[in-house]
Amino acid sequence: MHLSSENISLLMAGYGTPADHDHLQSCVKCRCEVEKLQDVICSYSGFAREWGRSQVPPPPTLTLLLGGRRRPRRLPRWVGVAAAAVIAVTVLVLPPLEKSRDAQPPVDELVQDALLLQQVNARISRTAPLAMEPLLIWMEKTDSTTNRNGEEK
Amino acid sequence: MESTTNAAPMSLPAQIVAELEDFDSVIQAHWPHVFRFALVSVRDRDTAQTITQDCFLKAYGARASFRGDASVSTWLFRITVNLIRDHARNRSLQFWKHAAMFSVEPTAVEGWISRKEASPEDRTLLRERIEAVWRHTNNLSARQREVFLLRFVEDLDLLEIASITGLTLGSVKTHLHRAIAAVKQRLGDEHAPIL
Repeated sequence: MHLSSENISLLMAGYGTPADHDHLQSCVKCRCEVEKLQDVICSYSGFAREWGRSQVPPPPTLTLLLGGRRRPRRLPRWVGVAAAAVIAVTVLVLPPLEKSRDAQPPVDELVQDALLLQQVNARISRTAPLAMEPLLIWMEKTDSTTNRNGEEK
Repeated sequence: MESTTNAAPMSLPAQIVAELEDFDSVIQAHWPHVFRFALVSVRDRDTAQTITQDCFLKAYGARASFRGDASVSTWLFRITVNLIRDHARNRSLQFWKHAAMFSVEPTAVEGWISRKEASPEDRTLLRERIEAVWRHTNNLSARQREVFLLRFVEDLDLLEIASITGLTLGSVKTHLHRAIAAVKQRLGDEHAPIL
């Protein structure tokens, strides 16, 4: 019976029971496993300790610490204003645009619009003022019934 | 420096009272350990420095309420652990910082290995091991990583770790076991020759 994974972890951490240590003496497989794991973790520990130590800045005095406390880096104010503007545009302008793009008018409305456009077109492309309209109609009628020389057709 | 004589409770052991009175000495003595633990936890020098400064400022502000139920070192580590937890919560929004903190400086590993007397093959293996454990400790849960680093980098005993993290001794053992098992499994998955 070999050591459980938990027992191996505790042995690794230096907290094995006497029974675990006795087992290690007699079991090559468990001993190898613990030694290999210990080797890997010890390499990491050694490096992390030394690397961490090499990075330590000189400790400040209390006066310096109380007086010159580093404030967390803050973003410039314009970044906040720009972000607010982008959000406002997104919320206020884009949804109505999207809505108008998506909305399809009904067919009746399209037909009415087309007729209205025709009427408007007819009005604005008129060659004479509105008051002269009856005269023009009469002249058209007269034209259709007489030839160029005023003779009846 | 301000005097802390009046602020310190009378019930504290005389040694701790004396230690807290000279807060400059507290900073000088414990700064390197607190900074190192913060650095291996957050892996960002600026953040580690901010956490370390905040730790000592908090400790200085709260020295009057320190009950003396643990050593000054344990108390400082407890404050640091809480600051690191706060930082992790805030960092979850700063997703662009994640990539930077995941990698160890290769030159740092090389520099450390070059001081070891070993063959080129052994050095390569050693570098791979360190980089792999460094990488995999980042994938541990926050509690597992705390316990793992306090045990294997700061070399603290399990009772002290329990006091620092606010966990029971049983929980510390469980987190440590899970952390070791996870690192071992990932090393096995990734680098068959290592384990």
